[in-house]
Amino acid sequence: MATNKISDQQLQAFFSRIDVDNSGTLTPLELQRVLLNGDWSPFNLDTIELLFSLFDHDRNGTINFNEFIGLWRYIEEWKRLFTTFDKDNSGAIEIPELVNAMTSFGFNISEQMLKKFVRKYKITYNVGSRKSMLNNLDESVSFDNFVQLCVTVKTSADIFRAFDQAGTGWVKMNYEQFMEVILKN
Amino acid sequence: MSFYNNNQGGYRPPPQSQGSQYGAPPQGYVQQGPPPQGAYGQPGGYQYPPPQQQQNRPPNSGSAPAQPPPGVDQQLYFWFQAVDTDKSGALTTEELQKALINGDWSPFNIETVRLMMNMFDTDNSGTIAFQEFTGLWRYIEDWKKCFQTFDADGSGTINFAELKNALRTFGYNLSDNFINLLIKKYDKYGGKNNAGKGDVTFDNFVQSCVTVKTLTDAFRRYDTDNDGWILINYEQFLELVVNNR
Repeated sequence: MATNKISDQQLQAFFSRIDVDNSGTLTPLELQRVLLNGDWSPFNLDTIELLFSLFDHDRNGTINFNEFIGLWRYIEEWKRLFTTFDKDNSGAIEIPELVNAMTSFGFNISEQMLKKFVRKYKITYNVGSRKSMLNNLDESVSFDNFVQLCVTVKTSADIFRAFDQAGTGWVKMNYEQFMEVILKN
Repeated sequence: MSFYNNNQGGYRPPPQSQGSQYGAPPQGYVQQGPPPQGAYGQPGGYQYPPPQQQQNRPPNSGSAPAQPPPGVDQQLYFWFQAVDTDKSGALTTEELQKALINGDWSPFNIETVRLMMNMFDTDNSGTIAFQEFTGLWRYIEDWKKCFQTFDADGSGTINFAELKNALRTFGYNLSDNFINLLIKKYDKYGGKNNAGKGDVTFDNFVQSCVTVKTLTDAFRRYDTDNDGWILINYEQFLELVVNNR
């Protein structure tokens, strides 16, 4: 993965190389081929989907060059954060590093809960295709899952705050509200 | 009982405990009637390996002997082996997905395959061994019967009225608004250009029902005084969101 910021011009050349069928747009699978984690495993498709949901503005299922610029800058930004928190340069974020990251983002989530999440993400998204990652299930999180986890934490916090108008840290909801809010997320 | 016999012999025994534990519908609703005709959830498009081929398999062809262990469903065992394309003795999510086909011949979506993997991968190996597979298979068969019961117009998909009826039969009291949301989320043709007809295929029917069950159970765990309202903090909320992934 590119860690250094590259120019739009370089990006154009890069885009053309990724766009193997020269269609002028990227499919999820074309994009997946060039997005790699610290251990060289490709991003899981769920993270690719997340990126598409953020940057495929015209919702046509592919990414054109303009959308790609936004997407690439977004990944560069995450990569920068990831590297900052990956203190031991292992290419993955270990639990203490993750606790540190969440705290500095302003989220107060217990270590025990974070371990659960890391385990859940690894099992849900990487089963079968990346068996090596299934070792040490709750000890570290790869780059793609780190992005997913952070995005989920952020959007959940936004929704929670919308319910928690008084800022008490607690929300009251009925069955229908509950079902709807969890289903939508 | 061999599942080859389904079209001659009628139903398997009624769903057992496994079902209700995992969000399968309540027992007793399945109408007795003619044996299932459709291919929902069956490895229909995949084609069962023809039995004679199995018998003609050359002995000692280099791979492990293909004889099922004693006491297991032979046909199911052969089918398992055919799906296990890398002959690892266990099925990955991808192998399983390739083998599971909806009534409209679309493959099961990956989320439903994962959902089932999570339920039946009891040793958390990330794959499904044959023993686990027999449970998974029974589960799919039970859902298939259920699906056919509620697909009142026999269209091969479940529409709004049918889903509403199913969820009510299972004992969930949900608004039309929520059922619409559910269909919108799970109508696999609904995302792009709103081309969906407002209905769900077999895989997504299972997913909708299991999701409703899982979320309702989670709600009930928090609603300790049973008044229909819960009080939760951010971390609890986040856990619920993540678990629903």
